[in-house]
Amino acid sequence: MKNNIELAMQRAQGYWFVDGLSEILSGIILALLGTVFFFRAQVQNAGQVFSASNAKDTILILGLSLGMATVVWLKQKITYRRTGYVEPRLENFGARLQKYWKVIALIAGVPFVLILLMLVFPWARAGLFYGMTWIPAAIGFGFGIFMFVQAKQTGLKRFRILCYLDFTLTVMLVLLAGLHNLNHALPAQLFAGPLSGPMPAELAQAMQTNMDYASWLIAILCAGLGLSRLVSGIFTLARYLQANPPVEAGDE
Amino acid sequence: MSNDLRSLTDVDRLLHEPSRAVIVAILAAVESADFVFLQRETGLTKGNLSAHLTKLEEAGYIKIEKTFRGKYPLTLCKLTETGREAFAAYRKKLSQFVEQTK
Repeated sequence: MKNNIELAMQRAQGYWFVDGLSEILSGIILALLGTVFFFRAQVQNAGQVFSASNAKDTILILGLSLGMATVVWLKQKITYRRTGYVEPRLENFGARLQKYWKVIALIAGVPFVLILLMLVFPWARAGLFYGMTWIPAAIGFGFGIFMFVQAKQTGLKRFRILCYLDFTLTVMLVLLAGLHNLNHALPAQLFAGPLSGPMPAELAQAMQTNMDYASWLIAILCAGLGLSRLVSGIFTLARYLQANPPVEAGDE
Repeated sequence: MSNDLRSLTDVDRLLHEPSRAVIVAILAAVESADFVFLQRETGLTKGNLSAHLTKLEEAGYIKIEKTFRGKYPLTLCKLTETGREAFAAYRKKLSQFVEQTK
């Protein structure tokens, strides 16, 4: 059980999320990304795929920069006038590196090991083929872990609920990817040959099918993540506005 | 008096007051916080909070900056390095005391 001092510290750390604005922003960005991936899964020609890729990058860059600036501006207009101003404490780069070096090493190391395995073992090459459909589930799992850490740091119940929803979505994506891979199995000898030389047409076609399906799964993932964050954010904002009337100037 | 209990006698008296301990705990978790936020979180009256903040400022534990955000007055409070170290030592001492008296 946490004592009063720890609870006070936890509440202060979670103050950035008190109004639900950052969840609404992430919900909008994820919903837009979901729409782009939905479009990407529908199209076939290279030009449209390129447009979808550009749209995704634009949403990410503009969403994170302009969206963040908008959240800060809204906080000045809404939150700081009602419940006060708090500047979050950010650790410096060195401290963060010291704290998260194992995670960074893991993230950097996994692709390296996978590439090495694929160069050496044919079965690992088959893993790459099927791996594409697992990527959305891996991203969903990453979101779940992120929400778990956030929930632990801030003690916010709604973050715990979002964490459970993210993991539920991940399980659903794992099942969908597994079913797809079972229905689209290819002869093992296609993966046994040397890495050089042209790719067999059958394999190229199957890879395209897998990429399209992975786009579908990412669209489902982004829609699910975005919707849950939008609902949570809007509900939190409504409750916050209702419970906290603005403080008049000169009140302090 | 046993050694376990004696360890609590040299605790920082300035921080060993519930309201001030909570104020410093809040400030330890953030970069800075304003008067409105501290008042809401601690549930203290303006006068009480002001008195506690003054004591902490006099001890060099916090820094108070009075400024304006548009037409709104803004009283920003920030924990100093001395305050951070004192709070860490205070928490350590309390934890030790709790452990020793279990």
